[in-house]
Amino acid sequence: MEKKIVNTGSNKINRRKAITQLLLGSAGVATCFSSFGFAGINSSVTPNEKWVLAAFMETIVPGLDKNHPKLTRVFYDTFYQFVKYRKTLVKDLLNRSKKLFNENTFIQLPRVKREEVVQRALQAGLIKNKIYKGAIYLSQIMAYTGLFNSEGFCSIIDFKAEYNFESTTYQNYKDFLGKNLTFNGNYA
Amino acid sequence: MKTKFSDVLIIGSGFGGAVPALRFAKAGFQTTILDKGPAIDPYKDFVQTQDPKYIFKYLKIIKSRNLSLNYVEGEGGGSGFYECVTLRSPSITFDQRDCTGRKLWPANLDRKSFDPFYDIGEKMMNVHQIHEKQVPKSGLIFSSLMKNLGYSVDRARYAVKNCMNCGRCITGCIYGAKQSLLVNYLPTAIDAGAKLESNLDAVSIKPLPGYQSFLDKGSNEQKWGFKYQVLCKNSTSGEQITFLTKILFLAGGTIGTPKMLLASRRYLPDLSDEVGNNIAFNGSVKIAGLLPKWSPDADLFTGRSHPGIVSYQFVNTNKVMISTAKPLPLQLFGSARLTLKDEMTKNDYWGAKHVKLMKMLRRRIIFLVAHGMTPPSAKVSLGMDGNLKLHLKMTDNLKTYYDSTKQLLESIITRNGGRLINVDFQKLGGSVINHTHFTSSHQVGSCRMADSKKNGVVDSNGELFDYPGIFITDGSAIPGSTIVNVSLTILANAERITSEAVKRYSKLKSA
Repeated sequence: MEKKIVNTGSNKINRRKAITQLLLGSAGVATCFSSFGFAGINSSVTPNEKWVLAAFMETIVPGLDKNHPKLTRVFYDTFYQFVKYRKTLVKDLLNRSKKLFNENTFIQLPRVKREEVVQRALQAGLIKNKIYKGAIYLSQIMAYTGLFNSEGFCSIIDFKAEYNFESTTYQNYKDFLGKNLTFNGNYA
Repeated sequence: MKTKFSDVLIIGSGFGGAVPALRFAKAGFQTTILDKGPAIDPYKDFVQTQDPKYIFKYLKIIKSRNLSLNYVEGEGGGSGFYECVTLRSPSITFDQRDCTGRKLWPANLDRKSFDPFYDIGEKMMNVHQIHEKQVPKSGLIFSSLMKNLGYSVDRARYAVKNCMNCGRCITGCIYGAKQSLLVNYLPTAIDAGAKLESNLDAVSIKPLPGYQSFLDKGSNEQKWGFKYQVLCKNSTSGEQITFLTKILFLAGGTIGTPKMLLASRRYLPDLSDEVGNNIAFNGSVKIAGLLPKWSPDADLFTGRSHPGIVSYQFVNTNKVMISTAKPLPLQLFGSARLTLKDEMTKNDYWGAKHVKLMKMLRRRIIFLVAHGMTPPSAKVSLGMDGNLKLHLKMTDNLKTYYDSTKQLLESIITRNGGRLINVDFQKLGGSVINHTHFTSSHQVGSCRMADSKKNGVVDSNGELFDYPGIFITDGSAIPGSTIVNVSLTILANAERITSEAVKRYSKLKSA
């Protein structure tokens, strides 16, 4: 096949290579955006950062699906101030894992050890404490409101975002009701 | 800069503004309502979501060390997002006195004088007592705990038509069932000719020459002339618009109305010194507990947001009304950490132990809440940056009230065989609040009615002292805690004030 030369910026490269690079690049960006699925995202995502954050969230709320593609979206959303501290959190988790357990990915640690990493960080001084508390706060809100998934569902507390028409009361309601002080609900 | 004219100008479209909007429009007055917040179509704009981006579009918070107050900026005010529980304030609240023995409410106002206006408000908002068979499970469980101790319970009253019992009242009713002002007062006012403009922030008020023309002075032209100029700014575009008006109603809420008046002080030099003071907030105290083994399950997430049952057992003794709360996950995890007393430490608010407790959240955990007749001890002031600052001095009396009410609520759990759950309140962002702190959306009093300018901002007709033709009809005019949710009292007061004002100005207009 005849090779054609394509100008990309100031570099002349092989056409096939250029198209491949473009496709890989756009697929990477597309994956990135489709994983997170919303505007306002900071596109400078390091490859294993998302998994460290997912492991962190699962440490805070055991039972969360670590593999859910949108689990960590809150840490990339510029609506929340914490986006400024995300990299600090990830770096600290990795460094602390290495220091405590000689395991520098945090992800590979069993839960008990991951919990210890977080516990030590919370005791490590005012700034670290604040960052970790903020991360725990956001993780719990995301997990329990189910905001990271399209159904808004949290299996731990059995909560769904939208009404699902379940039975709301007991048939023997009269057994629960006591004496009343008013005849219509308004106190004199 | 554009100038617009309106016989009647109403700032705010919540409970205080929707009433004069409707009544004056129906009486044939050219009526304009302005709201700082965005327009809301309840059938399009409300969403059953807890996404903070949606919630905080409307919900605002003003905070101090000891007190946080929530309010709404948006058409319909708090009515779009309230739990629609609609109760008359007990008589005891109208008899409140300050530390000098002075009655907080004007002498001519009491529960009896309010009842005809409560009737009007209840009719307009389709208020009725919840039927026994509609009480949600959590309300029934609360009732059984109280019944077990020999305490009374009453089915509460709600402003609702054909409730779907979805439990999402506080994110806005997508079914049009909850009677927010967006489905009754406001559309009826618009049908009667009122204009509603949103995203307009009323920045300052200036009297025009001749504003002091009273009914018995001056020519009819003078009496019926334009009295006040209101400078407004579009909250999105920044465009400035001036409104000239003959009758001005301030209904921006307990936070919004004093802000406007304080910012206008240089134009209103005779304004009472009490503007911004005397905020009461129904001091709410909340606790949590695990249900006793004998109790059937509650259910935090089904049935309407408000649990259907209240208890007036302690109104006369402790000045509190007790109920149970059904917070949605965002409300709960955004504001509190739960740990099981005697089994978990306060650091166990995350991790495996915490999840074990959270698995019981929906069905085995109950939240008790008390609203009380706490004194009007908070205030707002205007900072140099033009923003309001909130202050509450934590007195020994307030602390005692908090501690004793908390003890009462906890005893209801423990005497039933339940277990206590530590509730550590936290700020947005996760820092724990380690001191006594109140959170409320029942704030009133910052421009309260009184018999004299020394003690209040408006008279018992809601008219601003020394500035005839300016009325305040929102929660800021209510002089004290109401024990129950404040919406119906604000509405009834607005009906009361407006009915007199319509009579007075109709005579003038026809003259």
